[in-house]
Amino acid sequence: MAVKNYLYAETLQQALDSISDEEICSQLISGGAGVADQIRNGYLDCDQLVDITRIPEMKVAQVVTQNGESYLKLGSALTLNQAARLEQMETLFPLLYDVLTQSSDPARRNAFTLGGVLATKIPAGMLFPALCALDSKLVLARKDSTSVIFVEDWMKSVLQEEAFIITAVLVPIRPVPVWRMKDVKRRMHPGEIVAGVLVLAEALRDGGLDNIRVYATLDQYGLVTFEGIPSLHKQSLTKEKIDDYTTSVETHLMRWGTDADAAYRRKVVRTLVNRCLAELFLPVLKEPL
Amino acid sequence: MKIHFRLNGSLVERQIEPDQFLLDVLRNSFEMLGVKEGCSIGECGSCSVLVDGELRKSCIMLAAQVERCDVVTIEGVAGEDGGPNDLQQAFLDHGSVQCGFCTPGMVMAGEALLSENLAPSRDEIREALSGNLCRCTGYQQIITAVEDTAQQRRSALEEK
Repeated sequence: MAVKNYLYAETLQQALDSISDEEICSQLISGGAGVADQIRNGYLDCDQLVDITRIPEMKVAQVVTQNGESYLKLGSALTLNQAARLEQMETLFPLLYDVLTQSSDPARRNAFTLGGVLATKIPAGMLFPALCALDSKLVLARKDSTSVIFVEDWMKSVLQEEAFIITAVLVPIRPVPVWRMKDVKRRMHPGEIVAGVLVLAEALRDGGLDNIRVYATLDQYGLVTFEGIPSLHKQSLTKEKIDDYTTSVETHLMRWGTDADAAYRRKVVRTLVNRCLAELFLPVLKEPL
Repeated sequence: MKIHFRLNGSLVERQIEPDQFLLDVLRNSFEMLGVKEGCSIGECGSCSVLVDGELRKSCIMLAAQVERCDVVTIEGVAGEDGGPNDLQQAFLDHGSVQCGFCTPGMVMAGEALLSENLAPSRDEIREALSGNLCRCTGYQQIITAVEDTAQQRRSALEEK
């Protein structure tokens, strides 16, 4: 199907009306890289492209308060570079700043938008693990309603039936001290990140670590989460508990199957996870148990 | 559909298809043949241009997206006399050009960096050029050319 029209939406409602119109098959375009890929591969199937980059609220970056919690609200049409360059980003969210500036090469960071990468769920470096680790949320607008969903839940969700637009990303502003470790595999230095692991833990006052969360990202396959990992506390930490921990991570990885592709993915992620966990456990193990 | 934009300083308009790539419009409708088509999937950077001052790959961008934007191609960075500008001259002086196919994209990426940072480290230059592939030079001479131009522009600013 050839694209017959290109609409520069000026308001969110205009964009929502366009994509909800059952008479015309419309597709959103923001940075354009995803649409370009669809055209090159011959599977762009719509009558109309709806450009949402000229809608002012889609480019907003401001601190907002919702249900008593403060968030940095990032309009979904902001490119990854625009988000990284925000005044608040480096100071409030050093982790997010770090992953945004390393998410791809400069030209593609100027092309990829927050909404675009989240809508397609195609990884951009370590962006998805970082957004999940920060408990970020997405604002989804539909023709007659708006909803908010955690990025982590969004990444695991299936295709939405009703037409929607991701209008913003909400990143909670929380001064929570966390221990973090990031390890990545790049195509070449300082090239694209093809796989990465992010491990976060709350550092307890007594030196223990709690609420350990492990996220991985893998080129083409998207976000990998490891659920049900127990808390580890210094006072109760034993060699057996660490073994149990690494075994539960391995169990997650084994769910990918046994074919050669799964084995390769497992090998890459396992290496990165184990390197991060070694960093996490070593300082604790150095002291007598 | 018709689009209007500024191309290398001049206001232009063209009739295009809604799904036409910027790369194709620049090369075929405006004869900007310095914008090279390499991989066509945003990997090699040989089609790099500046859109509103930001580095973009014109093979993964639709022409319709540049409506009312300011587009600069390699043809727009030449010196006032039409000869190479200081960065292009540095490429020549440092042997940064072999087959030359990647050179326009490399120069555009270099210009994008220097417009923001006139004192880049070699690592920062390497990062700025990380979306541009060169299969001839091994990159070192290209990095040196950008580094040298940054120094020249800094000196020129200090003299003023």
